[in-house]
Amino acid sequence: MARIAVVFGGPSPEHDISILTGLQAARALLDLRSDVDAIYWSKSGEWFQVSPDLEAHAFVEGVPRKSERLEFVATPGGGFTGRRKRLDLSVIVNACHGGPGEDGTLQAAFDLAGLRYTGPNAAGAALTMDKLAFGGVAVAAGLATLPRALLDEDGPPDFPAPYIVKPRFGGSSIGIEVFEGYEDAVARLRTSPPLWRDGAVIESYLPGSSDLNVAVRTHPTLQLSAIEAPVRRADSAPIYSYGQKYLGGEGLAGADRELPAEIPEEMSRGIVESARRLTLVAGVRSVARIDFLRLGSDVWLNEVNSIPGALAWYLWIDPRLTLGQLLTDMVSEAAEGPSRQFSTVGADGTALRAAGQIANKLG
Amino acid sequence: MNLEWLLYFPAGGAAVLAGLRWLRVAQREHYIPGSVTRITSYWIGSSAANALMVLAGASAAAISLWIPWVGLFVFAQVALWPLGLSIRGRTSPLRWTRRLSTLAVVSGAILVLLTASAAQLGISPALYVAGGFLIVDAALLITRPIERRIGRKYVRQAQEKLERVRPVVVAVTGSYGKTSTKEYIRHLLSGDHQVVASPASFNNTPGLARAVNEHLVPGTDVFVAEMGAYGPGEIAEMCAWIKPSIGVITAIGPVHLERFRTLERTAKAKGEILSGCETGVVNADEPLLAPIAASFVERGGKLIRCSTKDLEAEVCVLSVDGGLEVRVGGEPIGTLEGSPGFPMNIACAVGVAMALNTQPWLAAKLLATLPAVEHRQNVTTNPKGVVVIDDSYNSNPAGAAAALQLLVRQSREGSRRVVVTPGMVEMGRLQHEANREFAAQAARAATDLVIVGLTNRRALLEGAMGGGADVLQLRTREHATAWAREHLGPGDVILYENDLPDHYP
Repeated sequence: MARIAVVFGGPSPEHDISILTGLQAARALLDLRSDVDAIYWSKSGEWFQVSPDLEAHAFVEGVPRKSERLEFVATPGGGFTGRRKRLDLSVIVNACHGGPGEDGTLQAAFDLAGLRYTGPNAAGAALTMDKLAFGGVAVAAGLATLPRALLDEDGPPDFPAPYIVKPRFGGSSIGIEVFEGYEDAVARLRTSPPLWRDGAVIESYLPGSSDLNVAVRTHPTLQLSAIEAPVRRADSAPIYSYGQKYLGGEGLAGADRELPAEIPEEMSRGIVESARRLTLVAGVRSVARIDFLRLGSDVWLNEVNSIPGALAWYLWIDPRLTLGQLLTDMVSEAAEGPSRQFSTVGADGTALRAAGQIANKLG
Repeated sequence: MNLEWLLYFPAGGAAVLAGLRWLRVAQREHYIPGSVTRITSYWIGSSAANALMVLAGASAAAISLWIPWVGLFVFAQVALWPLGLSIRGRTSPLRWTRRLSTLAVVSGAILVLLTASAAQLGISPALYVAGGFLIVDAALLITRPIERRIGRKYVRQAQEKLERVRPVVVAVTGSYGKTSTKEYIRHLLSGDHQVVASPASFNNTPGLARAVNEHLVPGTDVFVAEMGAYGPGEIAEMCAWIKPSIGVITAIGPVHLERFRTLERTAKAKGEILSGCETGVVNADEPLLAPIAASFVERGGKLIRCSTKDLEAEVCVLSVDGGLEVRVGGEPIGTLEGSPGFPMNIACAVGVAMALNTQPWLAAKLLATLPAVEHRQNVTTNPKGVVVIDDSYNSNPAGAAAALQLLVRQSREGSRRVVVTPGMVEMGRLQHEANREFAAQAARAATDLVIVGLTNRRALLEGAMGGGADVLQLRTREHATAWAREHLGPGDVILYENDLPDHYP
């Protein structure tokens, strides 16, 4: 009988947070069904089958004890193979955050192996992980966003300081810094910050602005959650930091927030409308969290987390959804069909028949 | 009819019960041969009851040479002794790993061999069953080369990975301050390097091999390896395969003196870390390290001296009014408010950042957000308003003295200042004196001294005599926290200085 596997971890700055999401998802599924496997992707990129009811502590020193090493074969009918046999998986719940698990790399590998999985496909994942490309797509879709540019040494951007600089690729708040002016940002760029090495994007930093988040899911129908306003602590850094988000004790689901956010009706409608449009253009699938920035009565689209922390289940308060219900719907959506189908239309042999000898083509 | 063969049943039962205890001790003591005997000696002296049991057991074992049935008394003693050391373990339970199973099998084989040869000679089993701890220590000695060979596979894997990833390796050692310094290095380099640091408990060859195999991801620029040493030659052995280019020595102190014997030998063993390095980052306030630093420079090494007082040193972290001032090459690069950490550890971390060309302004920016290191002079206020200083992982006199100063600084007029401690261990012949001295300081600085456990009870009681503090003796750390919950209120300060796992008395 085919089973379900939750995949988490991965060589990413959000490796640890992904373990938390993955273990929560595995536990929620185990409450509803017994055919659940857990696959841990280590920091160094290796695969292990672990017990789905482990606690986070088991991962503190690395690969948990009693894990079984798995091989991954990216060929049709491939997938994960243990010492004795191939894991027969109907759906993979992708609980990876950041890095190759959320940027399309893993999705592409699953596609090659013919595996069905939750979350965005390779193209959607790659787009939402690339802040520069995503900003461009949002502008093309006519959505309100703050202007964004690649940080380079060719001169200041045409929007005003102060600036906030973020890694171009990356989903977490790690590597985000605020600068008084362009020169400071460039001086920092010259020191080669590790997370900026694949590029960094620069935006105007709006002191006093706050975040508004909404979750969207695509199955059984397109639905939006309540809108959340995360609460920054009084002693907080200028940005909603990694520590605030995740180190509060219970992870993201336990962070301080105003839910639903007390915002004007009209603002709420605007957010719902742009979240809907974005879902269509950005390849959102399963569940995603869309983050907005608010200053006064202005709201801008900021970014999309295509595999959000704790799968953003805590935002579904009306009607209330448990993580198990959310996952059940994600799994049935993924089971319906592959997220990507390759096409060979046109490759019907005509060109091969018409071709002469290869050697002559090199002539 | 001779029924003496029946004695083998209780003998076996007693041997298994005692064996499990000593196996757990061996596991907790990192499988170092001799460690089981050392812990046994703590237990013999831990209480009158335990000492009396040993005396009675030993006499009975002797008598059993003539009257075999007296052995039954010995087996009862072996099965129960020492009072207070549980088989399963409370803080650190026995874990059946592959290595422990090997040790158990070899220990069992020794026991069987002894039984066979003793039976030939007509010697009662009481004699060797009583020395079970020696059997486990012997098994540790025998299995060591086998374990080394098994470990070599992982070391080879790690070596291959290091060659593939090619990070700059920074190796950190010292009698104390290693973990904090390593954390600070990781933090100060994080602005311009992809850094991976070895986890705290991974500071020997098998641990570092695992850290490399599991934690060193492709794309890492710098790997920070913490290296602990229980004896001479161990650091050289680790450096031989991990090949650091920057070596850091944080401090020399009386830790693991039972193996090193003298502080000079300790310094020399720590100095091994510099042998293949291009750059050495060294505590310049420690006179014992001066000859090691000098010979490193003679060999052409680049030395970065770190100090907390010498303004001429390449890096100097000075205590100034309300905080610390960090100087590089004599120039102040930044100040830190309050007491964010031990100044020498910060100085060594800044030294490494300078060796790797981190811009001083970037280092200064990161210094402002230096992370608090868990269980190392961590100050928090609990919901009741009691200030808690957690220094549970410290086990050296200098750190303990600094923690006492912190205790005084955190307290207000009229508030209670409590020190909870089991004392410090692994200090060889200096242990009694060091604990006595610490208790004397604590009794002056604190209003209450809570002595936990029996390991250092006598030395601590001696030291506390004549000081102003009320002295309380409790069995475990849990008893101490329960006492604190009941007796302390808002504004009171409590310092947890060192903690010992439950295989210590």
